[in-house]
Amino acid sequence: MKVGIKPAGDDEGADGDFGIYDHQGAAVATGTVSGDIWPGTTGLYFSEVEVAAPDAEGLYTWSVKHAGESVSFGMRVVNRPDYLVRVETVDRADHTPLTGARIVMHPYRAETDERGIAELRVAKGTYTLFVSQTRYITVGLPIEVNADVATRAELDVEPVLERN
Amino acid sequence: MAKKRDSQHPDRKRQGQKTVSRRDFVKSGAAAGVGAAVLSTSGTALAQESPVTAIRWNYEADIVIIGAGCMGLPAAIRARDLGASVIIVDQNFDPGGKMLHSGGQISLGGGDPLQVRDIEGKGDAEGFVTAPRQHSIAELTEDPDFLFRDHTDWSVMDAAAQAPYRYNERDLHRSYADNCYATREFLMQNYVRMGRISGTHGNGGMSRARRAVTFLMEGAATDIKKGTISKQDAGIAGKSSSHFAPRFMEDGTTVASKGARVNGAALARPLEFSAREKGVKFILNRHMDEIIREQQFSGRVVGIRASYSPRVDPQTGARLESLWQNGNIDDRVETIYIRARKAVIIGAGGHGANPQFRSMFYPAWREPAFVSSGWALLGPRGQDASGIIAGMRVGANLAGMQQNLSYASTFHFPGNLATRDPYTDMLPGHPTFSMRGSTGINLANDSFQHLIVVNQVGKRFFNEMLVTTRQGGAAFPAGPAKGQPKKGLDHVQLDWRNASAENIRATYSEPNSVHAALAMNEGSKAPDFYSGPIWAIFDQAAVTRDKWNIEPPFTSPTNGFFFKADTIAELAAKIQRGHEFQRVPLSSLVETVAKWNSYVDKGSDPEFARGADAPMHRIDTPPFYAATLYPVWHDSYGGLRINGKAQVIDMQGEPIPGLYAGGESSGGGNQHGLGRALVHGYIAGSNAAREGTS
Repeated sequence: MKVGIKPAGDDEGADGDFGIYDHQGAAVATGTVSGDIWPGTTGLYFSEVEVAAPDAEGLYTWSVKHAGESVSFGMRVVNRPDYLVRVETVDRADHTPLTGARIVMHPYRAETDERGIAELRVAKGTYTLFVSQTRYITVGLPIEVNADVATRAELDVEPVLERN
Repeated sequence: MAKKRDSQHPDRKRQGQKTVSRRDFVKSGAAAGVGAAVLSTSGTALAQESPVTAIRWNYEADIVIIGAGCMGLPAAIRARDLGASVIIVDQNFDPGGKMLHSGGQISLGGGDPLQVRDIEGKGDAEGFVTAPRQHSIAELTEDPDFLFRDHTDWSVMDAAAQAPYRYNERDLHRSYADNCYATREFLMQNYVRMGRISGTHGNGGMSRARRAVTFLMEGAATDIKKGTISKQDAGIAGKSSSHFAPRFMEDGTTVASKGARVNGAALARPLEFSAREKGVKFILNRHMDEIIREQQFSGRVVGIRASYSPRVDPQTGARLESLWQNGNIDDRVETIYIRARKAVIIGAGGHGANPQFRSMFYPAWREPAFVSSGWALLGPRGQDASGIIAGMRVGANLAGMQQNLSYASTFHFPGNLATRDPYTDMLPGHPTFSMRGSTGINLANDSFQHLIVVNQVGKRFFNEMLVTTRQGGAAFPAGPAKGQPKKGLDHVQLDWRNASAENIRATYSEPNSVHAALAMNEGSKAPDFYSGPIWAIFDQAAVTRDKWNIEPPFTSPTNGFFFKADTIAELAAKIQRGHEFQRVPLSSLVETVAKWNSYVDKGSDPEFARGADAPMHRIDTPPFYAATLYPVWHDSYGGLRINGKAQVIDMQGEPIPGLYAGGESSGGGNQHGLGRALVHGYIAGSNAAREGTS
């Protein structure tokens, strides 16, 4: 888990100690931000900490406390993903593989490689398998997973809206 | 048996001869800009003596045209062809109006020369049009009667359950249908090259293919006579546009041949070139403030008053200058009067940039943040309804005022973030680029899965995947997507089934997102209850994932339409400090983003039903971004009532002598785009030139 702290006002550097508290208010981890600034930001100091996920699947709200202030955040805990879903993604018109297409089966995500293929492990269940790629029309396929599965998605280029 | 009256207004003539009261005259005199000396004479004398005799005219011509756009330029050329002298006045520094940034799509029809060309399987004389025709002979075959029926078909309902043709003025559209052939021919005679007929665009009729797109051929140099344009002038994709063409000109291979570059610059510049070549005079940087009639509500229209309206580059302070100068009259005095010996023609555009005027149709559009398309190109006084208002002040009636509601893109979200002028994707190279500062981040519909859209208090208001969705205009090839039960040649004119409740239920697809965006929210305050700006909120992960270019010129760090921050709270504060129309704090933004992330975790959105049509993505990777997502009022319907001769009609149903109008300054024609205005210009120029000299 990455925790970022933005110093108030013109302070340079963050007073770096923080604590992470679970949904029942119990402390699960502490940390200290380093002097490193998150890439692309002007002053967001961050640190990476390891925490243990709750045992039971579900949605949880935890919090981070720092300098007397508390910020909550959400997370989703899922069962162990047992099954492999393999998705091949191509352009419908010329059947070329689509690299970097997003494969999303909430909450699982992956990206296709240069062959247009992505693999993700998911738990047993019923999903909508979304395949989306920049400038293509997103495809949503209903899929039930109770074993390893392979599928193929053909995407159409999204038409450019007329300006007239 | 009593003789039937032809007129429903038996006292019309008497009303027209009514003696002008002193009170009326004082208003008239003041409006005409004449001095107190005239007002000091007796009321009786005033009623008989026109105040315009006191005006010292600075210029005069047979015909004075207000606006050098797609109505004014053809009117000017046509009038010159018929021997009239012509002065065009335009508030902008360069001719072209909205035509210059348009797609260059011209839907005419009725058996026009390009339909005939395609039917006969021919190309153009220059050999530019070699692409195969796109429609069958049946889809191209019609006559003016057929076109007239299409344009006045009561039965057509579009996919928003609006009737786009029912309310069209009949005399006007009869004349339109009868003049399409001549107008297409006229364009071709004035250096305008057009490709194959390809469908029909917005409200251009449901039954036949009528659209052709204007093009120039890429060549070593721009030469209007030869039909060529340099690569630099046509624009470099993703890098630059030019003074010649404010928008990048797209590839036109499919409608003409390899090397063809298409958009409205290939129409506007050839018409401007031809007008200058034929001796039309241009007074640019000059806003028409008043149309002058002999008496306010009677007599001939005899001229105009216009004020100096230069546009200045904000960085250099220099006045912007037109691309070509031959034929320009550069007069910099504050006020001038221009006499029209035959007629004044109003081609001043519509009312899309006038919040007070447009709010007559939709009070939420009184919000001044949102502009009309081409805001930077046309400047702050473009599309300001001045032509319509000036006509009203001399007694003109209005027509088609409700027809703003009957075209799908009258107001909509173009999906171009980080600019105030989202309809026009101008790149650096045009002199007005500095007015907007950014091209914008132009996103396809599917890219909206990567962001959330919030109102001025930071709350979501609609399913983001539907925000930019709009149904197509009602046009050939019809079919359910256009609100009709039958498609292509199967569409039946004047069939009651087109308007049946059953069909409307089956085809209704109005997305309504723009209405949700304009709704009042917690930040809306009396008396105008402005809805405020709309913001797209996203994170660095979205930028990386969907490969957005958020660097200049697509965004500007200083124009107040794009912000970057380390945290969402900081982002909200930056927006409020830096955006002109952000009147209240985005007090809900932090909570909205947290709530959104919780929906992503769940994989469903209980508020606006995201998640069924596209994946959802958390917004949690700094830095965070906010970019405006502005709706735009693109084109406008409703304006001065005109007849089939393009004469402006008064409240008694009579033409106002010496006054013509057309295009977006006129009403009663719900056809989108250039075709309507070009035909109006042709008709107005023809008839105005034949007027007697006053």
